[in-house]
Amino acid sequence: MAQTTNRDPATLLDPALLGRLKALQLRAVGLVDGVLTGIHKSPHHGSSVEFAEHKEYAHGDEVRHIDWKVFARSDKYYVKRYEQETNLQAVLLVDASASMLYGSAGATATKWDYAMALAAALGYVSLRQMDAIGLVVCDEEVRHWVPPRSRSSHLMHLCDVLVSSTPERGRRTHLHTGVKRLSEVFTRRGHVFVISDLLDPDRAYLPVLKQLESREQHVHLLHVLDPAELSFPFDEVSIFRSLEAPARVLAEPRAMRDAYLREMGRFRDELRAVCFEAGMDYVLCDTSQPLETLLSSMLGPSARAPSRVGRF
Amino acid sequence: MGFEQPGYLWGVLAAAIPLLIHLISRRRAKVIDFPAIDFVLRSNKQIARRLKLRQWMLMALRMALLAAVPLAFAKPFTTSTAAELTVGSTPGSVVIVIDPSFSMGYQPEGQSETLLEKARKKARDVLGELRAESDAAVVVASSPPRSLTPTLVFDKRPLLSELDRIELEHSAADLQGALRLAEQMLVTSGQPRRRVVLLSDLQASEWEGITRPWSLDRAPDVTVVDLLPKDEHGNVAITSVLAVPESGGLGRDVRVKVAVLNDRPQPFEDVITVRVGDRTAKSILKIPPRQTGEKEFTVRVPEAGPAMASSSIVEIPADRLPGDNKLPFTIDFLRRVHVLVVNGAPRTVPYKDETFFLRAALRPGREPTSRINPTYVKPDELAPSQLAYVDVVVLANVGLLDPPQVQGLLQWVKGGGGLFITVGDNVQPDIVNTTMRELLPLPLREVRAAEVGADGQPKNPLYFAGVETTHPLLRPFAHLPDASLYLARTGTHTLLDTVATEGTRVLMSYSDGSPALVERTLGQGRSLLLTTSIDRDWTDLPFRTSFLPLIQQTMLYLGGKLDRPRDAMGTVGEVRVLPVGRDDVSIEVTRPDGRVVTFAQGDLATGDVRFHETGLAGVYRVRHVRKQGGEEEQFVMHVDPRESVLRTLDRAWVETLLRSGQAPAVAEVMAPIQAPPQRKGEIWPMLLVAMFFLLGFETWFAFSKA
Repeated sequence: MAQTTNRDPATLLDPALLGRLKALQLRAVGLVDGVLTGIHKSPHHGSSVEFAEHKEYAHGDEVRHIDWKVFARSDKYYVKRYEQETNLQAVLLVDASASMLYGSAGATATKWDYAMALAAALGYVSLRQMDAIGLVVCDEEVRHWVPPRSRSSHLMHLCDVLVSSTPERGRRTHLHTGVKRLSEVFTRRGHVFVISDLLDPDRAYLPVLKQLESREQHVHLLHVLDPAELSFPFDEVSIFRSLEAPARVLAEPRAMRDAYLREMGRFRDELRAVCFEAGMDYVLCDTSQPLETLLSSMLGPSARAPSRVGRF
Repeated sequence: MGFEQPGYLWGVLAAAIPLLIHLISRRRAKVIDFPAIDFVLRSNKQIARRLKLRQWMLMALRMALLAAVPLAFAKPFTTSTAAELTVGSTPGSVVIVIDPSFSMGYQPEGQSETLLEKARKKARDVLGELRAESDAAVVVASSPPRSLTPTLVFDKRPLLSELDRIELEHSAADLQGALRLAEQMLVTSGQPRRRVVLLSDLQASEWEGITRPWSLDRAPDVTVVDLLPKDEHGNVAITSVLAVPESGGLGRDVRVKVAVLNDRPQPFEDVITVRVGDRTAKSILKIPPRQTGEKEFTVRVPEAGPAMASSSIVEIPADRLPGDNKLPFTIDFLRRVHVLVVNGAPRTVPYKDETFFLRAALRPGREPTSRINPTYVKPDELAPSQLAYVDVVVLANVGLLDPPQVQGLLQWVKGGGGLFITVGDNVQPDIVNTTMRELLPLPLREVRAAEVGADGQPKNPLYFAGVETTHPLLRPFAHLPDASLYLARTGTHTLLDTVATEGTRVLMSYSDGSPALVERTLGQGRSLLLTTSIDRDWTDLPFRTSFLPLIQQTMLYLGGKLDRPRDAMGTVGEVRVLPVGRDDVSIEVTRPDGRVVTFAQGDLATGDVRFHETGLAGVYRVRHVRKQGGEEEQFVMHVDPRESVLRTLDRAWVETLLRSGQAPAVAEVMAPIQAPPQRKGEIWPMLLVAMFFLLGFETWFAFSKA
């Protein structure tokens, strides 16, 4: 198993990786709800520079927005609406349960190392385009909550929090706690990145994520799995021991590999289906894959069409 | 089933190797920390039952494979008789002969039932297989043989219920008699098919001397079921115990000599224990295979006297035939007879002394263990007070006694004493008749002397004749028609007045018919008169070898010590002669099973009682009931020692004997008995084939997906 070590926060930002990340074009093509003006379009209509559309006057609309020229032509009251450019807000929810410590020989890193690097990369990308980024670290409980900021120095703070949140053996995965907390403190439109192995027998976090999605907080479910979890490559009769619970079982891997792969496949299919139905993104993050490949697929030109929240 | 090479069976232990590998690999399984444990648990649960079944099957296959190899090398074979036991579907008559002998109490290694219990079970199987139209009987080969039902019966229920009542005998079986009885029962059958099923251990000693038992030319079909596995011949038995008091019975030390038979192929080394009362002696006894070992103990008993058999036991650790591992015994302390010899013609020259020959006969060879303790006095030294300490008084050629002496003697005799009177030169009939008439069995008449020839020997001597060998005194001569007693020549003897007197009996006469030895009962005592001398003056009887037993018997008889049998131990089935005491009113014998057999006064008239019911091994208590008090003694009947030797005959030999009567002698076939039994079916080739199939199946199974 690959080992997680106490790392300097700066090392999370691998210069080579950062160089490659700079090349990524983060284009926000959707509407972003925010106060700060950025390159993202706001879904809020107001008194900005770019006209958007006319709307028939209704009680409560400001009289100053009535387009008198149209009134003159049509003898009807229409109100002018404008599109404003604003900053994107995003929150990273990183699972720091004990199961994230796992890393097989075939992986480049443990799941936790992989998740940290992924979170830092996403934070960098976000801050580089002047968007605000926040962080929630949780296992059985919320260990850290960092509100979204857009300052460039914020990235170092995020990395510092991540490094100090190394998972502890015996700490279980309970995403519901973290997601619930996030739904309470992060109410603005934006993006939510859930970085976890999702090995949580309690699926109560999924309804909350759906709720977030319905609040136009686009959810990206980044499912981090070790290649050994995906392929179950063991041969000898072994005792499999849980990292989070006292459970252990003597098993013959060769005999049960097919059954395991079926179970794992069913699990991923179910998650994928739930995400598809709710409009959430589901991305399988195989820790044997290079991180830039993953980011390219997520943020590159070949990424899917922007959601109604906006493209990250 | 048997094995030609049983040594290879140790290899069957190799079958445990897969199990050991399984246990070791389970213990040494690698521990893997794995996060998706829930999926592993669920997957494992899905396949667990199937996988476990597969694993067990695979392990069983491998174990069977490993066990099959040594099993095949051991060359197993079957000797089952089940097929032959089947009487068949056609109606017929069947007589089942069950051997209940002592050796049938053997419990073979690894089995929970004795051979007799197996015999009962087999008999039940045979009866259960019979059709309703078939009739049957069960004959028990006891001694004498008996049938459970008077005739063949169609209703098998009485036979089945009676089977459980067949008990183990302590003696050998009467197989010949039982088979004859079976034939007699079958003769009355009208069935076309007649069969005898013999259930026995085929112990060799029981077949010695057995000839073809059938009286008819056409013998019935015989099925012999051998119940004792042929590879078992192990038994250790105590075959004899001899307990002899040391120092002529004067002390309390008893020497116990025990003989133990080790009829096993391996040596015996174990503890042997002797208990007499509360005294216990133990020792280790080592006996090589197939040999008899002896051990001597010296035990100091609490007090001298006949030790009761119930409290005197020798034992060795119980084996698979436990009945012969413990043996009660009796200690025959000598009951001495104190004899007072009144020498009527003492001489300073020993050989001329009246009692010279008598002394030799009373204490032969100065044997300290002699039961007779004589004291010699002259007539004038005889005091009535001495009589209280003696059992027998001998008046050897005593011509005259004082009236007080005579009265004292008379009262003493009537009180139970024994008086032996011999005559000689000093005995004048007239004087003796006058002074000692009441002591004499018959009055003396005159002395008759034969004419003496030139050589100094009587020309026409008299010989003893008319000897009453039924009398206890003379019983030793019953089977000795050429005893030297009959050669003794008597030149001079005293004639008696043969007037019929109550209580008088002539025990021995001369060849001319005149009395030689006469007995008379006086009160509770006896008086015995020899009408010739006990030295060489009148007869050469003292020179004869019969003189010694005659004198010894006379002393013991008069001293009342002849009643007790010297050997208080015997073998079951032997007729036990119980001597009747002079005052016995009845005799009660209590058997080891508690049953009491009583001999009333009418049975005691003949002088002794023959007790036949000695079929049980153990302690028999004999109570002599008398008007005043009584006396109890014991005797022990041991198991027939031949039954402890578990050498058996081959079934084919027995069947040959029973079918044709042409079979070699038992002694000749003893050697092949110990060879492997005749094989009925070789199993090992099939085992090898099965092994190859197992190997192929295991290979396929191991590489197939779960």
